[in-house]
Amino acid sequence: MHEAATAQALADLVLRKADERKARRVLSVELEIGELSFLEPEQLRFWLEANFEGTIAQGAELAITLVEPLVKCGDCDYVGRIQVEEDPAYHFMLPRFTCPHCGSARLRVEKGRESTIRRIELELVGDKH
Amino acid sequence: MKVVKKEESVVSIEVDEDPRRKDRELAQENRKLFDRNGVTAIDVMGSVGSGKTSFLTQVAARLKGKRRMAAIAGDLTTTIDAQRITDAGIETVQVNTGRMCHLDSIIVRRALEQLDLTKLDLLFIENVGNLICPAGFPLGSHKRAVVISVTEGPYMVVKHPYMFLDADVVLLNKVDLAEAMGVDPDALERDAHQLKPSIAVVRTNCLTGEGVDEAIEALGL
Repeated sequence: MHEAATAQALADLVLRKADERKARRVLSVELEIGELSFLEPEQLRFWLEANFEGTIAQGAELAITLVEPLVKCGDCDYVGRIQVEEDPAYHFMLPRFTCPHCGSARLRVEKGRESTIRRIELELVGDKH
Repeated sequence: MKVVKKEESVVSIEVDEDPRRKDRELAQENRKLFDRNGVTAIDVMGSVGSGKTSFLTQVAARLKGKRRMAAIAGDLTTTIDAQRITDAGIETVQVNTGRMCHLDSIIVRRALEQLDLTKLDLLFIENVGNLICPAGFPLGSHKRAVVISVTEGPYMVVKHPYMFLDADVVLLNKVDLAEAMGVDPDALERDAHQLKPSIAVVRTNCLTGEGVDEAIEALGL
């Protein structure tokens, strides 16, 4: 259940930022979730909404974007996706943690593990139309 | 922080912050702490019942008197694992994670406060029994071992590929039961190598100790 813990940390961050600006309401939250973050977007959404309940972020629009993993090879210049092969024996796609160019196993994950609050939209206090 | 005024009362703020980045930074700090004290830290991951604790008790029996060891044992609610490792002669810090499905760098840091790292050569961190979540949470360990067993069936590797992304050694445990289970250890080993050629696969029986010396060697201990 690490969605719950991560959602709480994300919600705290959003509310802290809103508080710093003395916002009246959080209107929207843009979130980037790496595919290697082991976070399930719909579960995360559920927990974020639960955390926002009763706060100024209740009802905020949540935009969750999935970030595709990006790996960098330690032996050649390859920067790109993780190799995926369809394995007919198992009827599904299997990742291969090797460089598709040189075959090296020294891959570093550059992107794909994030759970980043990219942007939030706030309605400020006292600035009524 | 960039602030864009959209309407009079609405602002759009670029936050660009990841709360889990702190986890990863703390993992790096843990690593530095280990290095400063000359401690090698090994994260042991795997499902409930795969043989993580049995492996550690075997290691304890073999390295006792040669290396100064301690362990951190993560479990949801019980102290069974910590007790078993303690009985095998390793000082063990028990961490009950409550509902958490994995250890993280913060929990490990807190557990480290109960250990004198200057008096240690090796630290084993037994993760919570789970083949999914621990993979996403680095602890600062030098090596990560995954214990899988033939009793978990023939698809442990292909069903949980990301567990092996950051792993260095796979213990293929309970090999003595392979035939009875109708599981081909060669196929499991092949799956692991296809996924990650640099991963070391060692076949073990952590009840009898078969293969444990090879596993210790594969971990560079």
